[in-house]
Amino acid sequence: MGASTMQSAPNSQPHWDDAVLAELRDLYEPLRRFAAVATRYDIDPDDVVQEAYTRFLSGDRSEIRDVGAYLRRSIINLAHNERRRERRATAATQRLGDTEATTDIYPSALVDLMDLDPRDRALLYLVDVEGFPTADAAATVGIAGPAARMALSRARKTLRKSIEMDAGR
Amino acid sequence: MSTDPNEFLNELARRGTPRGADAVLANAALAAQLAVDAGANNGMNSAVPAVDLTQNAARPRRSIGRRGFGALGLAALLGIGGYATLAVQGNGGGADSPQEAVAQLADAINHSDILSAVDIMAPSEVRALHQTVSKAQTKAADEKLVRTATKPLAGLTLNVKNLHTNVEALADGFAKVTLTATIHAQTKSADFGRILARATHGRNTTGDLNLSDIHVANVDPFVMAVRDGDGWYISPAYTAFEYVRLQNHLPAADFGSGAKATLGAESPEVAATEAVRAVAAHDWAKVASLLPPAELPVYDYRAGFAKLMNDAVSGTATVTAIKSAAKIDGDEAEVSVDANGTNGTGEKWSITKSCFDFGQSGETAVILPILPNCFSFSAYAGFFTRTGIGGTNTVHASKINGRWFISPISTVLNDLDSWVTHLDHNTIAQIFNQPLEMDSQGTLALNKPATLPKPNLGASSWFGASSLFRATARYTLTVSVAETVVTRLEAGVKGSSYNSPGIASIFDGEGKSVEPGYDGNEPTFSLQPGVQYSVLATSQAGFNTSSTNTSPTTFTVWRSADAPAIAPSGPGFNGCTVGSSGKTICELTGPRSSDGGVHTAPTGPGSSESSSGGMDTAPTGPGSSDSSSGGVDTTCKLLSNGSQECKAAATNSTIAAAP
Repeated sequence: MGASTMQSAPNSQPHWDDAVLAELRDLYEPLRRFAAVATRYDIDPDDVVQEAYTRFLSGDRSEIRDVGAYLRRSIINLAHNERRRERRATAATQRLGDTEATTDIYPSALVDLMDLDPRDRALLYLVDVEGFPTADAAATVGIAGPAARMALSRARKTLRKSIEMDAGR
Repeated sequence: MSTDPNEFLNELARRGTPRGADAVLANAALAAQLAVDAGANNGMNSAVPAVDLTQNAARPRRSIGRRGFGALGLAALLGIGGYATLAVQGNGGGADSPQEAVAQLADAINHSDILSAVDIMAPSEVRALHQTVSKAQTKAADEKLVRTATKPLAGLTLNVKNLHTNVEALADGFAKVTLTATIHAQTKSADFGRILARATHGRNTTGDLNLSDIHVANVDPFVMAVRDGDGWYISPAYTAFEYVRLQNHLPAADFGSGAKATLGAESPEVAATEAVRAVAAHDWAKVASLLPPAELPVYDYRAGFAKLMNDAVSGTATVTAIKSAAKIDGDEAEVSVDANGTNGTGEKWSITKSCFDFGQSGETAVILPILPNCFSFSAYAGFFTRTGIGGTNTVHASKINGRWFISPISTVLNDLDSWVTHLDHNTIAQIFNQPLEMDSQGTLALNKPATLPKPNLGASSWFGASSLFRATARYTLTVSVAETVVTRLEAGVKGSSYNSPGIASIFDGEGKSVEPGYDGNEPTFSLQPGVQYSVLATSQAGFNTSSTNTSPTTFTVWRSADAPAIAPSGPGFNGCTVGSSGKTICELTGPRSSDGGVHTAPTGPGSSESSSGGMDTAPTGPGSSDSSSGGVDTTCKLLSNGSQECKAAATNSTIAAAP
């Protein structure tokens, strides 16, 4: 589906040009991978990327200089929103009492990874997999440099420990 | 198993099936366009970063829609929708202000998150809901109404645009939050469970609702927020009561008075008997004092409640005798009451284990005009479940802070739970008018009757008019050679209900309806060999299936040539009934059919009794029967070939011949 389809929306007065759309298209794959890491396991990464795109396209883009970084931050914020929502839901579940919960079985390393704060998980991904410099990754996820280094250290330690436990079983 | 940490990150990064850049981008562009067109960004806070990237970038305005994450449902209930999230710091303990409570609820709605919505409702009001919500969600998932219990609203997306709130403090801890917003609703049929998807014909729909257009009680839409501990919550009960108060121009509530007063009774038995005495004496303040104030704040609204009841009910009643019994389980109890007396018009009233009888012209007629003279919870239970609460009139009582209260909400919810528990797949398919989703009751053979199951919902006479409570069953049928068939349904109701032929539909193996022809008297169906047909048989409305007098209702697919003709009805012929003596009464004033007046009446197992009026088909039992007074006398005899022949004496018309 190309740009022409997108411009056929009701009352459409295109607010974006082909260059913007092309840039977003190029960013899709890395953003999807990033969203898959940053968000909860039961959330479709495409949904998150789509929402980030929506916010980007419907907002004021005049002063955004790094679209990729902007969208990654959007994704981090969306992941945080979902995490907060999940916590409220968990609290509600507990308050409701006897609601039965089901548990999916995953390797503990994966579970521990998902238990990390979305920012820490995203940081780990950007630095260790995508090869971002720590300072850039920290800026992208909105953490100060020293805090990012500490978070990375903790996250790596947690992950290593979980992998060792899984391997020892 | 990998020991490389990065491999776990990569596994995460690869999860799911990508929809592709074009699809994602196209949907985002469309959503963004709609948001911009609707002016959705005006005045909204941004959930998207403020920061960084541009150093001095202006905070982008927030798009309210949560188009990617999914959808909502409760907005229809409270009339509000989605809103910003980042501005809302949910903590599981209420919100910091009434506005935030609304925003949290709206956010939960916008994300199809029922549990989060419950989390921001007044705890004391929703506590009783926990079991019902849990059961309903599980049942919905079990019966494939929804794809998963945790996402019951998948497929429905609501986006709220231009939400504005205005808070008016009504008392310490009580606030009225007036709302303006536009709600955009969108359904995505593919995300529904199978039955819902079929019920919506696979169509995706959209629509907008401007809350400003809704003026219940001539006021702008609002919700009530209450403070509980340190947090603010939305109160469905206070919202509802405030609407009722405004609609009826009732006195203002005495907010919080119920929480301060010593209410209730020392035991569940006393609570129940005092409630009956208070109703009889029209002591509405006393009645209010026996209802749990945190669950149902009638006491705060007691002045308005009294005015409302006094306007509706005249003439107090006396209580001659009253006793109650309770089954107590911790802080909960089920209470039954036996009482009798005289009502305002001098008639006897009584409450027993099986019946509320308020007298022919008593208060029931004023308060509950839809109820029959003897209102029984068993009929009510029959509505909810065939085997539910056992037909006993009991109310639920709860012990709160050492005092006992009558709990109408728990009483209803208990029955609702029972109904949900007994709700089965076939009933759900009926509710959503998807009979082909029903389980097959078996394979039919031509000319052989099958007994229709009773509808699981039960059906008391006053609910019986709804198609929802008809007995519908699905059968399969194959034929070895091409056949032309007709259908017969033989109702077996004893009592005051009438009988009529049922409704039958036949579908081919692909679910396509077999269009009936017409032979001059009735629909006929042409069936082909090698096709497995689904045959749906539906009884007529008005079945009193909860009655012990109900006989089985049978359904038969007949070869057209073998079929007994239906009992005629219409001008000149009012059909046949079977009297209490077992005699057939055919009200015939002249032959009706075009062939010179030869008619046949279907027979069925067991005899039935029915009253006159609206009857089309007269079931008769095996063997002969003859007519009695009340119409044209008919004499039937069993022929050697198994058929019956009936003759109407007055006209000498043959009216029945069935194998």
